[in-house]
Amino acid sequence: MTRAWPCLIGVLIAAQAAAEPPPRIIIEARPVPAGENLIVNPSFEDGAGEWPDGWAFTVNQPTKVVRFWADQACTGERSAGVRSEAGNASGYWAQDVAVHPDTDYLLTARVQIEDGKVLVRAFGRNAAGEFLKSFDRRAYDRRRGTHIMAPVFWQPEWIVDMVREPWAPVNLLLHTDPDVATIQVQVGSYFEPGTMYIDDVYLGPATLTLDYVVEADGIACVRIYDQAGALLARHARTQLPIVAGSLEGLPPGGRYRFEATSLAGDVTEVWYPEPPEGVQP
Amino acid sequence: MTRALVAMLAILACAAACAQPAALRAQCDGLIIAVATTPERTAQVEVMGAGATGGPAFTLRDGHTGEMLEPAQGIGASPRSGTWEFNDLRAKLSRVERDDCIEWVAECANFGPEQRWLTLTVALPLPLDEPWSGWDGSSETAAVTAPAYSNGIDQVFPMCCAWDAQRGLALGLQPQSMISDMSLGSDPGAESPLFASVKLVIDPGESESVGFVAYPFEPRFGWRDALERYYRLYPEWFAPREGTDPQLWGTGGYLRSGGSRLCWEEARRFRFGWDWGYAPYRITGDWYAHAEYYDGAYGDLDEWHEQMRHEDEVEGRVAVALNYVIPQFINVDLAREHFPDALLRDQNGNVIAREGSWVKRDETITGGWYWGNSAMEHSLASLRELAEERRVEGISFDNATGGGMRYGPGPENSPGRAFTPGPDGPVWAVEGISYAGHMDHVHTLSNGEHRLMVAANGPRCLLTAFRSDVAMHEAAPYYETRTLAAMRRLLGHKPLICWEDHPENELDWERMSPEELRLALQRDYEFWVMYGLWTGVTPSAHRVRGNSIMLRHLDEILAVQRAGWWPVPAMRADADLWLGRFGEGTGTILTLGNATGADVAAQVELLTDYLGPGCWGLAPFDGGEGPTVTNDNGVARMTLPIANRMTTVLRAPLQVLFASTMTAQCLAFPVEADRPATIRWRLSGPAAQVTLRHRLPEGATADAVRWGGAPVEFSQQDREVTAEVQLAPRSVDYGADATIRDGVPLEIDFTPRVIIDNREALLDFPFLADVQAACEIVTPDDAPEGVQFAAERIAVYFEYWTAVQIKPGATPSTLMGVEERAIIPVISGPAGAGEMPRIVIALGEVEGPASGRVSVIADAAPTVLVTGEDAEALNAAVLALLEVLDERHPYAGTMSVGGPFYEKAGLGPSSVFE
Repeated sequence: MTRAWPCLIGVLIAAQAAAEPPPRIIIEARPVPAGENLIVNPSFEDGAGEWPDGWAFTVNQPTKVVRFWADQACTGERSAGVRSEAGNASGYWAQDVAVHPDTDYLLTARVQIEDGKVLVRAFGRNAAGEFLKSFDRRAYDRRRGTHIMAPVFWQPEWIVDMVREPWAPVNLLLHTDPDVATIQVQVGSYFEPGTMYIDDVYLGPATLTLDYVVEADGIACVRIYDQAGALLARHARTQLPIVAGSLEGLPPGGRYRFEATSLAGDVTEVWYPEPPEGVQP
Repeated sequence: MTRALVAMLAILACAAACAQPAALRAQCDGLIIAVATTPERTAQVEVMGAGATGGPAFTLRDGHTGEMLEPAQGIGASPRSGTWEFNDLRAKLSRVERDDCIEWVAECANFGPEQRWLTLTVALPLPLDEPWSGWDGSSETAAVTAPAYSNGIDQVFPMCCAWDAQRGLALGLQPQSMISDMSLGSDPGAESPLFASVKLVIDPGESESVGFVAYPFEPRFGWRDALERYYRLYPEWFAPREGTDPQLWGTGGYLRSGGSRLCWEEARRFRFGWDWGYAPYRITGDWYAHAEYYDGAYGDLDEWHEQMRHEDEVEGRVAVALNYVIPQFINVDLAREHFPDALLRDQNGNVIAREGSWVKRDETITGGWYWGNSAMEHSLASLRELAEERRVEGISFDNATGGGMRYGPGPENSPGRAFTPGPDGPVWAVEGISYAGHMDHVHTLSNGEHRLMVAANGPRCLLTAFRSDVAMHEAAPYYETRTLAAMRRLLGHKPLICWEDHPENELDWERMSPEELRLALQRDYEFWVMYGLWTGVTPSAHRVRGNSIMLRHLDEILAVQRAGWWPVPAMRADADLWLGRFGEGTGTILTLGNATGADVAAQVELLTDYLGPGCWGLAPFDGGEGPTVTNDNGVARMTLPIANRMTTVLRAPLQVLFASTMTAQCLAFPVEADRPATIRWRLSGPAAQVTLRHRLPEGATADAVRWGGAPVEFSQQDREVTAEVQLAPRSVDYGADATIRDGVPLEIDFTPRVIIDNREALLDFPFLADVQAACEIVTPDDAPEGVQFAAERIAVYFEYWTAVQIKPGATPSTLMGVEERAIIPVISGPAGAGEMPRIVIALGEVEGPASGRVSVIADAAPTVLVTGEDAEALNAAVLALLEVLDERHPYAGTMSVGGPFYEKAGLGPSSVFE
C-alpha cells in the first residue's frame, strides 16, 4: 500500500474571498520521534578511523563532492559534512536500516546548511537487497548562503531561502510498502554547490503534533475532528481575533478536519494533510 | 642554483631533446613543444624559458572497455607531423604554422570492421613552480593539489590553463570544433598534468579530426590573461561576423510593429538593436511556411509572405528584423508525414520526446533532430528562402543552450557525436551540433544587403555561443549568474542581453511591506545597471521601458556593449570593486562598480600596457573634469571616490607615446557637443618629446591643437588626432583661466559631426499646436530614398509622441489605432519660405567641417533646415534633431507589469519607475 504524504511539515492556510473575511486557519505539522532510533551512530560521534562508524558515502562525481567528518555539531562534538562544488553533482551519507513493511516511520535529520540543497531520502530495498524504484521517498530543504544581491542590494531576510534556522530538522514521514525490507537512508548534497553539516539522524516511530492558529474578527467556535468524526478539541466563543492551540501525540497517518466559525457566521473548513477521497477541499 | 641557471639548463635540455631525430616540433613566441614520434610519444615543453618533460603527448582510450590503447609502432615522422598505429587505428598529429600559438590537428582513422569509440587526450607537462593554479574552462583552483577538471561542454570554455607567479600555459580546442563531449583541466599527479580530452565515434573506414591549440601567457590576472589571448588568437569568433547588419548593436526585444512605421520611434526611444521576431512561421519545422504544409490559417499564403516581408522591411530601417526558429522541436504531423527521421527515438525505435503545444498554441510539437537527415535539408533550404525571398536580416534561435544530450538515429549518425562509456553506450550527440550546423549555414546566407546574423537564446557552449552574433539570457542578471558569466566568457565582445526580470520569484514578497518592495525594486534596477557596466550585459528593451533608472544609464551601458568586453580588467583597487574593461586603445572604457556596501575613496592602479604603450589620461564618461592620473612605468594610479551601488565609468581617450612617467587630468571632454567645442587637459612629466594621440567623438573633425596655448601641427585619422609635443615638468602660466594650474595645457578644438544651430529656437519651433500638426515637412522634388526616410522619420516622431500621450505603453501596432495622433504632412517642392512653418530636408554641402547641420531660420514662417552631406550624415542630423526635441517631448514608456507582486508595490501596466 502506498500512502501519499503531500505535506509532511508545512503550513496550510485557508480563507475564502468574501466581503466579511471568513476565519483563516493556519496549521503547522511537526513530526516527533516516538520510539527507538534504528540508525547506528546517529550523531556521528563514534568511529576510530577516518570516518564515523556505520556510515558510507555515495557520490556521483567524486572530484566535485567530498565528505568530511566535521568538528561542529548540533549535539555532541561531531557531525557529517558534505561539500559540493558543482550544480550537476550529488553526494550522500548512507546507511542501510532494516524496517518492517507496511509501517509508519519518521526519518529526520538536523541539518545546518551553509549553502546548497539537502536531500533526506529513504530508498527501499527488497529482501534480496535490490533497490526498489517504486519506493523512493524524499524531502528537501535549501538555503542560499549567498546571493549576489545580498546584502548590498537586497536585505537577506527579503530573499527566499536565504534565512534558515541553524540545525533546523528536515523531516520525512513515510509508510513502508509491503515489499520493503530495508531502507537505505541517504542524507546529503543534492545538485547544488554548497556545504552542509548533518547530525542526529533518526529513523523510527513518530507521532504528529499539529500547531494551529485561527484568525477572525471574533470567533464563535473552533472544532477539530479526526477522519472518523471524533471530536479531538474545541474552542468556545471569544471576541479575541486569534485562537491558537496544539494537538499532540497524533498518529502520523491520520487526517484531521479543522472547522472554524466566525461571529458573523462564516465557516472555514480545512483538512490536514488533505481531504479523504471523495471529499472536496 | 639560480633561477636563470635552471632556466638555461632547461632550455638546453629541451633544445637537446628537440634536436633529436623523429621529433614533432612546434614553436611560437614563448612556447616550444616537442613530441617524440616513438611509441612513447613523450612530450617536452618549454614555457617562457622553463622546460619540463612529461608523458605521452596524446593518448587514446577505448570507450567500451575504458582501456588505454598502446601504439604498436610509430610509422612516420617529420618536424610537422607524427603518425602512430594502434592495430586497426591510425593516429596522426600535425602542426599548423602560426607565430602566436601552436595549433595541432589530431586525426584518427578507423581501418577496422567495427565502429570505434575513443577518448582522445592531448596532455602537456607543466614547467611551473609549485603551488600552481589551474582553470578548467569553468572554475579556478588556486593551488592544484588534486585533479581539477571540467566534464562536458555546457558552460565550459574550450580552454584550460595552469600558471604560477611567472608564467602560464594554456591548452584548448580550436573554436570551430564540432564535438559533443570534452574534459579539460589538470591532474597534478600525472606526468603531463594539463590535458584536454574529446570523445570520438568513428565508423569503419572513416576518420575524425580535432584541432587543439596551446600557447603561453603572462598570468597577471590568472586565467583571464589566457582567455583574453584566446580571443586575440581567434577574433572572428568573439565579435559579430563581418558583413552582418551593423544595426545589431543596442537593446533587443519585441518591436511588434505590424508593419507600422511607428516602430522607428519605438526603436529609437528604447535603443533597439534587434527584434526577436517570435514564432512567425505557420508550423514548427517549416520555417519559411510552404504551401504544401499550410492549412490556410493566415489567409492567402502569398499575401502573408508579402505582409511579413513588408514588416521586416519597415522594422529593418531602424533595427535588425530577425526571423525566429527553434530547431529542437518539430510539428508532430510534419514529422510523421514528411520527416520521420527527425523524431528522437530510443534504441527500440520508440519516440522519446513528449508532445505539447509549447511554442504556438494551435499546434502539437515534439522533440526533433535536424542534422544529417531529411529534416536538415528542408530546414536549411527554408533558411535560404527566408534570406533570399523574405529578405530577413537574421535568424533568431530559441533554446540554443546546446549541451542537451539527444538520442536516436539522427544524433547517432551525426558528426560530432559522442558516447557514454561502457560496453553498451549509447551513442548520442548534443543538440548544439544541429544548432551549430544551422548557424554556420545562416552565416553563409545574404539577403542582398547583409550577411545574415545569428541571435540566440541562452547559448552556453562553444557550439552555439561561438556562432552567435548576439545572445540573450532569458532572465535577470542576478538569476543563474554563473550561467550568465559563462555565456559572457563564451561570447567575448558580442552583445549579451538580459531579457526578463522576475523578482517575485526571488523575494519573500508576501512578508514584505509595500515600501520594502519598492526599495527592493529600486535596488533590483540599480543592480542591473551595475552588473551591466561590469560585464557589458545589456537590458532588453522591455526592461528599459518605463524604467527611469535604466534609461538614465543606457548611454553608458550601450557604450560598453559597443566597445566590447575583455576578460582582463587591467585594474587593481584597494577596495573590493567590480572592475570592467571594454574596447581597445583610445576607445577603451573602464568601469569601477562599488558593491562594498559603503562609499569608498578607492586607490586604483591601471596596468596601462593592456591599453597600449606609453602613458594614459582618463576622462569621465560624461566629459566633465576627471581624476588626476599619475603614470609611472606602465602603472597609472588614481584616487576615485565611488558611492555605494554606483559605477564610475571612465574613458581612456588620451595616449602619450614615448613617455614612461606623466601626470594627466582631463578638464573637459565634451563628447555630446552639438557645437564646435574644445577638449582640455593638463599634462605634466619629465621633459621629453612625446606623441599625443587623442580620440574624438564619433564623426568629429579636429580644427586645432594647442599645447601650452600655442598651436601645434596635428593629423587626424578616423577618430584619432595625433600631435608631437615637448612634455614639461613644471607649471605653465595659462593666463586668466583659473581652472588650469599645474602642467601644460592641451587643447583640441573640434567640430562635431552634426551642428545644432540655436537650440532654444529649435525647442520653441511650432511643430505642434494643441497636439496637432502645425507645420509641414518639405523635401525636394524627386528626393532620394534617404531624404524621404529622414522626412518620414521626423513626421513619425510627432505621430508616435502624440499617440503615446493617449495610449502610453502601447505597442506600435496598437498605436496605429489612436486616431488623435498628429501627422505632419510631408510634401515635395521648393525649399523656399511658405505660409506654414516648415521643416526642410535636404542633401547638400554643409558649411565648415561638420557633415550635418540643423538650423532654424527666422522668416515670415519659421523654417527648420536639416541638411546632410550624404544620406548617412542626414540621418545623423535627424537623430540629433530628435534628441534635442526629446527635451520637450519626454516619454519613458511604461513598465507593463501586473500581478499581485507589483500591485503590492503600487505598480501596474502604465507605471513609470522613477
